[in-house]
This record gives sequence, structure tokens and C-alpha cells, in this order.
Amino acid sequence: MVSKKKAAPTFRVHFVAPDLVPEQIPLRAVSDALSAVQDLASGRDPFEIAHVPPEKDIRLVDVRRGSAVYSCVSRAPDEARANLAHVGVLLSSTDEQQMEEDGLVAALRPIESLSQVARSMRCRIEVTLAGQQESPLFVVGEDAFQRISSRLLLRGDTTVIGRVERVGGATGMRCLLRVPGRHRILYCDVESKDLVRRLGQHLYEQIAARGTATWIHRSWRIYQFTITDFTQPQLGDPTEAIEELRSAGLKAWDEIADPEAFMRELRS
Amino acid sequence: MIVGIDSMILVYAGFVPLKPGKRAADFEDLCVRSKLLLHQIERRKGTVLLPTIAISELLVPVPKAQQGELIAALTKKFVCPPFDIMAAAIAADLWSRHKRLPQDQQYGSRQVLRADAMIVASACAAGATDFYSHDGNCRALASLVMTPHDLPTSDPEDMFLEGDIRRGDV
Repeated sequence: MVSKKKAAPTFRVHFVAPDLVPEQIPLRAVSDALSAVQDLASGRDPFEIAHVPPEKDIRLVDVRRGSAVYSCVSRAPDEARANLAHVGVLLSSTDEQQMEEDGLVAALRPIESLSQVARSMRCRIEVTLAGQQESPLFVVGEDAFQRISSRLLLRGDTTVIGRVERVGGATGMRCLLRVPGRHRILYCDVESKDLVRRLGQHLYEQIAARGTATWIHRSWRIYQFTITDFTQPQLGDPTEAIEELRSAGLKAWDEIADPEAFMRELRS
Repeated sequence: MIVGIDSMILVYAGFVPLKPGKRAADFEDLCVRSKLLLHQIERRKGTVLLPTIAISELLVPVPKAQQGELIAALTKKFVCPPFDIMAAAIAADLWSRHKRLPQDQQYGSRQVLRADAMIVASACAAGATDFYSHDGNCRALASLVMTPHDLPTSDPEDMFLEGDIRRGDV
């Protein structure tokens, strides 16, 4: 028998700004913020788990006019409280080792979403435990993601080898790459429309993409990747390949009496 | 299948000694084994990574006027990853972990270690899971981040291939 008793809220998400009223907040912003908090409460690692499992989802209770406070009930309340409290510890930590731990890596995308909502709404988002008057478990302002990412993320040019799964997109130029050894598909930005068109001609083929990556420090997981160019080198028939390389200049090595000794000399 | 190779594999594969002798016989064997490897990779539709640092080694004896042509030919056939910042971090890790290898697998020269670490790290950073080298030290170093392999001595899927290569039929 299903109980009709109203569930008591587990925690609250506040959009805090002077004179902020619910009517000013687009549904998308509420949805993005609550989805991000749900990720944090469930401890979901977006790189590993596609969706929050049903047994850990959160729902709204006590929604009423005149409030920008969203009371949420978790179906795994103890875990949600612990995870959110942990996010608070991570966000307030300045210790290098804590900054790099897996918990923060998993929390990075939700914090980026919350920062974006905070920026677009010109507010800060506070998460507090329901039924308590204490200070928030954590507060995400518009600069929270920037503050963390500057210490956790690295940026540089690199090569990524993967299979082109999808290209295009209505809102941005994107390419989905299936990269060997990576659980989740890699969503890449693409530098130009011309490049999108070229990539589109190589659907389901393996490419060597050149571009700018943002890595998560230490784990070297790619957080973002922008493709600036790609190649599709192919060895082809080995006999012909070797002959082609010899004709292009590799036969100069024939003149070297002892190539191994020559290479050792080069490297020392 | 994404594999990294060191520069000597291409030197062996394309080497034609000008003078016969003991060394020429050794190199002929290594030439056959390198060609066996390239045939196996091509049959499995593998992607071969030849780091740009290895390319610089291949270019040394090549006349300057021909270097551009060789680079173009190499980049058509191989993915040529540069030494990027991820590779730099992997190389640093290799240098520090190298000391923990058995004594007989450690490099005698720091310069050779540095060159090999940069080549192995470049391939690893670009996604190689396997690394081929005839050099035992280089394989031991690569084993810290990838699966190392020596050159094959035969082809388990094509028993005639080795003979065909030796006769110059393929």
C-alpha cells in the first residue's frame, strides 16, 4: 500500500539575490540547477554513469508561490546529505590533495552548470539541509567553477584517435568520437563549419583528431576537446609503403654501416 | 588496435645494406621481422603511431632537400603525435619509475633514457596501448605504461609470409 503522507524534505536549494522572485527564473535555469544538485546528491560521476539511478533521484516538495526555495526529497536521504556535505568540504578546501580527489572530478560538471545558472540569474545558489537553520552545506556563485577549474584543469594541444559517431548539431558544431579505452563517448567541439562538413564525410571511420584539450589534472581524463583538424593516415600495402618511404628519402640509411650504433650515437 | 613503434623498425624495414657481411645478415633478419610486423598490423587494420621525435631521428642521414618529402610520406602512413603536455607528464613518470625496473633492464645512459621516454610517452599520450621495439631497455620502459612487444619472428596467421618476404615476393 502506498503511503499518502507527504515526504519531509531532505534539503533545500535556494536561488539567493536581492528582489529575486520565482517568476524571474526560467524553467530551464531551475531544471539545470536542480539536475546539477541531483547529480551531486546522488554522487553520480557523469563520465561513468549516464543517468541518476531511480532509487537515488530527487523530487520537489512544498513548491509554492512567493518563494525561490525549492525543497527536495531524496529517496536515499542519508547518502544525499553525506554527498552534499562532502561537496561543501571540497568547495571550501584549499588543500591540493583534496582538490584533486575523485569526488571533485565527479562534481565538476554539476558545479559548472550551477555556476552558469548563477551567472545567468545573477544570484548564488545555496544548498542547505531541510529543517535546519544552520549555514548552507555549500554555496555556488558565478565564479565557483572558474575558481576550481583553474586549479584542476589543464589545457593544451594534443592528438585524439577515435571513431566518428555523429557530426553536426542544431546549436553548436559538435562531433561525437568513440575513443578506445574511454567508457563514455567524447563530445567534441569543432572549430569550423568546413571542418564539420569534412568530418561528416568520415562517419564511422577512425580519425586522428588534432585539437585543444582540457584535461582533468592527474587522471588525464579529457574534460573538453575542440577539433581543429584531422588526418586519416593509412599504412596500406606494407611492401608498397616501404618502397614509397625509401623513394622519399629513407634509403639514405643504406649509407650507414651500422644503423644501430648510429642511432645510439644520436640519442647519447 | 593502436600501436606505437620506435624509429628503428622503419630503418630495419627499409634497410638495404651496401656491403655483405655478418652485420648485413643480422640486419636482413631484422628487416624481415619488421616487415612481418607491418604486414600483421595492416591485416588487423591497426593504427600505427610514429612520434614526431622518432621522425626527427629518421631524418638525420636524409639530405635536407629530401626531408620534406619523407615527412610527407610518413604522415600519410602513420599518426605522428608530437610531445604534448600530457606526454610530458607521462615522460616524467617514466623517468621516476624507471629506477624501480630490474637493474639489467635500466638504461646506462640518461640521454638514451630521455629520448626513449619521450618517444614512448608521445605514443602513450595519443592512445597507443601496445609498443613495438627490438630494444630490450625500450620495451622494459614501455612496459610501465603499455604492453611491450619485440619484433615478431613468424606470422601465426600466415605460415608462408616469412618465406615470401625473404624471397622478395611481397
